[in-house]
Amino acid sequence: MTAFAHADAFWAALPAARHPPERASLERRLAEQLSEAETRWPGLSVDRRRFVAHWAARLARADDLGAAVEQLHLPDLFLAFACAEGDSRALRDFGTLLGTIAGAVRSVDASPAFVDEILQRLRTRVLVPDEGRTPRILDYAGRGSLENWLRAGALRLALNARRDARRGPEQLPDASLFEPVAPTADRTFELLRGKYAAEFGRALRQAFGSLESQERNVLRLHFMEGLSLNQIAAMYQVNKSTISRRMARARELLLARTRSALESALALPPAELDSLLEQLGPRLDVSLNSVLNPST
Amino acid sequence: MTTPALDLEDGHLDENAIARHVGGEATDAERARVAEHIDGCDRCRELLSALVRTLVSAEDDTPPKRTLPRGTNLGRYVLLDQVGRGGMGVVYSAFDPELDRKVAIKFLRGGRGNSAAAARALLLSEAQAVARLSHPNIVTVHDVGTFDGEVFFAMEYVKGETLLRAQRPGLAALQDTLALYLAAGEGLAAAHRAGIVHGDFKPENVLVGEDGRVRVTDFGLARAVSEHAPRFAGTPAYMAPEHWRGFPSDVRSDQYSFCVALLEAIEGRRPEEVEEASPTRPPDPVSLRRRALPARVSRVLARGLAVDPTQRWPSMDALLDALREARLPFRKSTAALAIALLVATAAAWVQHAVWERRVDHELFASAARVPELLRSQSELTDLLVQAGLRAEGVLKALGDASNMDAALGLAEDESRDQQLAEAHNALRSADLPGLKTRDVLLVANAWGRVVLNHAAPDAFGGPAPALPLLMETMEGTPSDALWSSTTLGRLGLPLVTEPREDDLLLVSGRPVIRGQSIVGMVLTGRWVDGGLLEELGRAAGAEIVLHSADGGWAGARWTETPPLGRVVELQRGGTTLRVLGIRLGGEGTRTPAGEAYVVRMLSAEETRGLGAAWLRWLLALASLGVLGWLGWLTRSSGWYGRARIRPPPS
Repeated sequence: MTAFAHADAFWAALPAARHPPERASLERRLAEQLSEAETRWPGLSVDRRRFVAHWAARLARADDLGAAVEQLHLPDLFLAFACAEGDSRALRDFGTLLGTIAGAVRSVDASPAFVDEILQRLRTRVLVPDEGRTPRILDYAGRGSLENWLRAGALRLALNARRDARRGPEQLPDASLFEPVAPTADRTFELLRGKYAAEFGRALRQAFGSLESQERNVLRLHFMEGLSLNQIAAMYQVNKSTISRRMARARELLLARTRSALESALALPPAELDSLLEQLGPRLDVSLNSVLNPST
Repeated sequence: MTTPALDLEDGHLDENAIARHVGGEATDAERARVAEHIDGCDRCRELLSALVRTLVSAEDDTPPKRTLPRGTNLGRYVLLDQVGRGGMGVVYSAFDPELDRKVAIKFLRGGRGNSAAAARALLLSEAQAVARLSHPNIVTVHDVGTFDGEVFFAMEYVKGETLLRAQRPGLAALQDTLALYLAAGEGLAAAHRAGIVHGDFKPENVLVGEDGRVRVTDFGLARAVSEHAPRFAGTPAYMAPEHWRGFPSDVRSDQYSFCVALLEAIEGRRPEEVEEASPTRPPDPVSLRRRALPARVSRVLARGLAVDPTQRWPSMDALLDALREARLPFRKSTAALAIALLVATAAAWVQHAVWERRVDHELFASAARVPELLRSQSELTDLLVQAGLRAEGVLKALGDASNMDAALGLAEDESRDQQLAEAHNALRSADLPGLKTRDVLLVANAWGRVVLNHAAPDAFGGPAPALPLLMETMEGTPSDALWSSTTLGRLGLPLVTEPREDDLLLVSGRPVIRGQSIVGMVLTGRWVDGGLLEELGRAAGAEIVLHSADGGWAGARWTETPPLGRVVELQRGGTTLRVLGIRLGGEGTRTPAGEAYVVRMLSAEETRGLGAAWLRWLLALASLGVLGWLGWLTRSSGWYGRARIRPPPS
């Protein structure tokens, strides 16, 4: 088997400090990987030497070159490079890829005009170079899949567009934390509400701020972004049970700290405080929402 | 370690880092840094959440509930069959031996909150309140109990179907629809008077019995059984906006849900504004403009759908009164309308007989009368002036194409193209609702001629003939541009959907250039590349290829081609099409949308026939206006609409 034909171009693009002492085995892997990428996207007219240099530059920061080579999404990087070169087949494949991420945009706003507009903008953004700059698709580093890279870009554009288009909902007055959930809410709560609204909001905010960032995060993701435990687990790449425990703990802590903050802020008789907190349990989610969404 | 520092761009997570993270490839250290970042950065947290939401199912795979066997004793009831399973819980049929009647038993899901006992208590208290309601339009709740730790209702057994299945869409069935909803509304109003909020009104929660009686069911249950905050209770598409802001629902929220349901019933589908609502996505304000609704019904709904609850009807009763009123005169007006139509048609035919010889063909062929017709339209003159054109010039261009530049008042230098492009954009994006269809057609006609003459002076072996151009967008839906097929369609003009040999395909839009070639063109909100553009490029040879000094659009120049475009021939499906590529937008301006039209020159005979047809129609409309019905009809648009020039969706 012949060695990697473009080895010189590869090493030339990599800082000398990163060159491993033993190159031959790595070069064999490089050759195999490149041929895999070419098989994945056949018929792309791409200058191989320039691509190999681009490839090497993506690896310039890696401490363990061998591992980084294995982790890189080379076929995706190859396609991205070919798109930047204006290869018409690559652009067609790129179009197909865009089609697969339309669903993500649709989750933000399902109107066809919006989806088309965002995909169009994404396309222009990544393919058409800005003043004095290479096309953004060359920023794709092959560290995740190209599809997810595009999906992230599309969602960012979509969320920005929605943010621009929409004024935020009105700020929730603190007193609304104490709106009775059902018309049958009991008298004690009616009395408490209004009387301690401000203190309660402050205590809850203070308690929330005192949580660890991880605890705040799960609460935010669940109550503010509406993610299920399953989705949060996927977001952190951990077990659902882990997230479930984290969530339960965060809620307990929040309740306990809200209680102690209230205790020190109000000189309440224990019975009244207990009653207040008993009411707080089921309402915690609503209240949290308003604490987490102070101004958005 | 192969961990580069966290990628940030403008202080936000870079797409590379995000792709790696959601792909599950991030190292522990990277993951920790992403977690730390999203704790402090709202935008990135929102972005990552949106990504995860599309990539990961929300299903928490809870085990399915067991089914109770037939014959199970629930207090005095004997269980029969399971008859339904919904968001609220499971429904069984059952028998009540004491009263010798069939009942429906509905088991409710767990109930919210941490403590099961507290949840049950809340559920029971709500259920008891509902059980006290007695009204012909409310499903009677006989009994509330618990079985094996679960709360159940024993209810009136209604043989029939849900309102969702019973209702028939369309204006023809409007009277029936209103009757059904007036009855359901009575049920809601009765509950409101007793201080009970429904909280999840929707057509699935209304039963129409075989006896025809309408009954609302599931009062207050959504909030009682919701496992999440009350904010997430209910069915998103019908939920009032205040719900999303964390306010509990009240009687006014029921009004909103009622109006969404009624609108859905009339139109046969949910308003698009609420279609995609979800616990994390509030509905957009529902707009009642441009809907085919009688104006009176529309007014009732508009108030019920107000985003601000205080702007809605003071009570459900008030809403129902208004709806009843809206219903009655509607019949009268329908009869009056029929008479008006008869009169108008007769008038139109008389007028038409007088006008036909003089106007018909002239309008399209020599257009001699056009300036005279248009001169009185001050709005149109304003439009043209806004577009930087001399109104007189466009009118003149209609009649005499020999010296258009002079007629239009355009400079005879390089800036002419810029002026033309600007004028074109201004015309396309103008919004003058007062303008009449005929005016729009005339401007389109004139302007189409101007563009054709400049872009393709030789396409027709001389000045472009007077049009009309009949157009259909090649890709997707017709755009709302000046040359809108919708506008033409309203006039009953045929649209070209099957291009034939001597048609001209107009392609306009913003070309996107990479290196030395066009890689795509933005057409009517849609990206066209590869196939069509390649074909275009091949057919055009080197001439249509855009050369770019610096590789970007800003510096792009059309070389060797007339600035506005060029006609090329294109083989498509065995047919030779002439393609005119025209460029929209001056340098540095953004024209996100473009269009592709098939343009067909009509023969004199075709023109004559068309002219007669659409003129007749126009005159009929004009007569209606004279009869004083124009205003009324316009508000009930959808039957016909005034021509509107709207900006393209951006």
